[in-house]
Amino acid sequence: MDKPRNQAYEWGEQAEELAADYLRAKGYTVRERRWRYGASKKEIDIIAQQDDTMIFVEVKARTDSDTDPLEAVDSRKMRFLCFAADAYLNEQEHDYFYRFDIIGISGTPADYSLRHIEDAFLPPLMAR
Amino acid sequence: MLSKIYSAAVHGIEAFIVTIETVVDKGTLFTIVGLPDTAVKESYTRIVSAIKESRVVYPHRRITINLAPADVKKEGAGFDLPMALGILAANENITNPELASCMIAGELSLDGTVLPVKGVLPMAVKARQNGFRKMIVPAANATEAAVVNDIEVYGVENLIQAIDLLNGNSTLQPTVVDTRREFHLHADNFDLDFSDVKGQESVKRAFEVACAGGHNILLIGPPGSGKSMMAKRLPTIMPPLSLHEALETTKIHSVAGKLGRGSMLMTRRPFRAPHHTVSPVALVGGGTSPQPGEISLAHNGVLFLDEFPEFPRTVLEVLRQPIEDRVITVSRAKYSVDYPASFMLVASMNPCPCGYYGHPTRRCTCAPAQVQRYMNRISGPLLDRIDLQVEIQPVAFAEIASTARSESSTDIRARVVKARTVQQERFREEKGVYCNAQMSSRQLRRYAWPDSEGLERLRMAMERHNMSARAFDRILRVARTIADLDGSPGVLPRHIAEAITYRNLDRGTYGQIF
Repeated sequence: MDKPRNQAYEWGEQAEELAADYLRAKGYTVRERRWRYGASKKEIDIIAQQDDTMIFVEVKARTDSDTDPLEAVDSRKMRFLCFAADAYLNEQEHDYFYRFDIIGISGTPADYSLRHIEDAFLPPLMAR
Repeated sequence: MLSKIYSAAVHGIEAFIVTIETVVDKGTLFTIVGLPDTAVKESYTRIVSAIKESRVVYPHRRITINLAPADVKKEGAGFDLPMALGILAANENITNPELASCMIAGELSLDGTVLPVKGVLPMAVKARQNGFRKMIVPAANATEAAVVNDIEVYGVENLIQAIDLLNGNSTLQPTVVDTRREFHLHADNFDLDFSDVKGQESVKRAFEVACAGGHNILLIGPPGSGKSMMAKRLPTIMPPLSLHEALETTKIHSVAGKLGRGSMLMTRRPFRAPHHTVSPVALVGGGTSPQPGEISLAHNGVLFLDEFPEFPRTVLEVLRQPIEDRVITVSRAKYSVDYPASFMLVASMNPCPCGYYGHPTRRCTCAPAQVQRYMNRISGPLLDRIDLQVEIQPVAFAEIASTARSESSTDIRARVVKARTVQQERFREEKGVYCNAQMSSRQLRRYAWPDSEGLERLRMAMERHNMSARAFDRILRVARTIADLDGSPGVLPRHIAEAITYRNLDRGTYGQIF
């Protein structure tokens, strides 16, 4: 049985759909949706491609427009996205450049505003 | 793709080669391995920002950097530039088949400007030893590196210049320094001169003797008698630096980051005057990542300690070993570094806490016990390493107002150089001895033994002034130098007589009568 889906969860799913449409409209190819990295429960919302660049998109949905979507992505999330993206790129035959984008959508399905932050962050340093 | 860039790190005052290997391939992670310290880890931020500011697209791919040798801790920001160029070379933004014969060092700022780094001179020396043909260094360090000839040195202002240079799109010319010419041009260039000092002829003479024999000297005199003034002029009468000495001294200053922008070889002997609040580590060198201290910065020059008894005892006692060995070893659990520290010690002090003990016109307000206690702050073993102890009197008005020009530094120096030449000849066969001050007791007996009349005079003086036994060796040593200045092969009674006057503190009565 499906878990009871609350309003926020549904809005999140809708927002991802809106973001994917937005990216397609921009000319990107959406390669993956909700791509899962290994056994992790976490996922990459959208993986899109534009020429030689693979774009890893985190979608943040908000019912208000006060918070910055960039602030909603913390360093733990960034770390996860980087490791997941690294694994994804290694699976590919072709050698791609990476880019991490954040799309913030706020409002309601009927009346929303979308903000796209390209190249939002770089991978943190891995020093052993 | 893999790129290899060569850089260098400093250990003591010598550099060692660090190979920076960079691989760019599939993925997103940015990794630095090979024992980087915090400053090296932080270079990631600077490199990314600098590359983005430099009209070059930062490669958004997996970047792995290895700093070899992997077992030595890499410190400082000097790897920023080579790492940035390594990334670009691995990403094929830079294609230059001669990268392997090029040594690169420099710190990057966020806007891509290349900032100066410490220790460029020892790096250049190492680069030449290892057959590198080119060096890319910060523009501010270019002349410093160019002191080492036979290697093409390019000083770059920013990352773009470095990229263009390596890609052959640059008209940047190598920095050329004619080291020998520069050296000889500036060698005798002083803004101070002993002729500025009015009166004080006996003290000037003591300085001349000290320089001629490499003796340490202690000045005892009331405030305002010109102790510091004369000490500052001491480098002007010391023998000129040899090119080798100049290089060694410059290296130390380079490692300590004390050379200014665009400086070349240090052609004058250094004069270091640390304040008496100096810590033991600041004086002799050390710290978690060891840095040379004041005694090493004074290498081949003068270390002037004003208000000698005010220095904490712990600070003074650490001086004893480097004065003997002329080198200081800073030891850590994993390694130790040597810093040369061959300096002439010039100390000055007041005769008593109030400053007027023995003053011709003013009354000393100290109790005899106070004077004694003040003297006792300097330990015997340390005092033992100071051959000349000279009392200095304030200058009389007639002498200050006098317009008669006193002897110039050049004239005094000529005599000093002559005396030094005699000593070089004498100690040619003796290992590790270069001047009279370094003679052992056995060598004293061989080279500085006076005739019977001289011995008799020495015996009388020692009895009259109640001198200690250790004064005996000191007097002979100084007498030898005075004889050398005199051009005399043997030590004559008059040389002994003069030497005795430089042992004020050995008079057992000092501080007891007056």
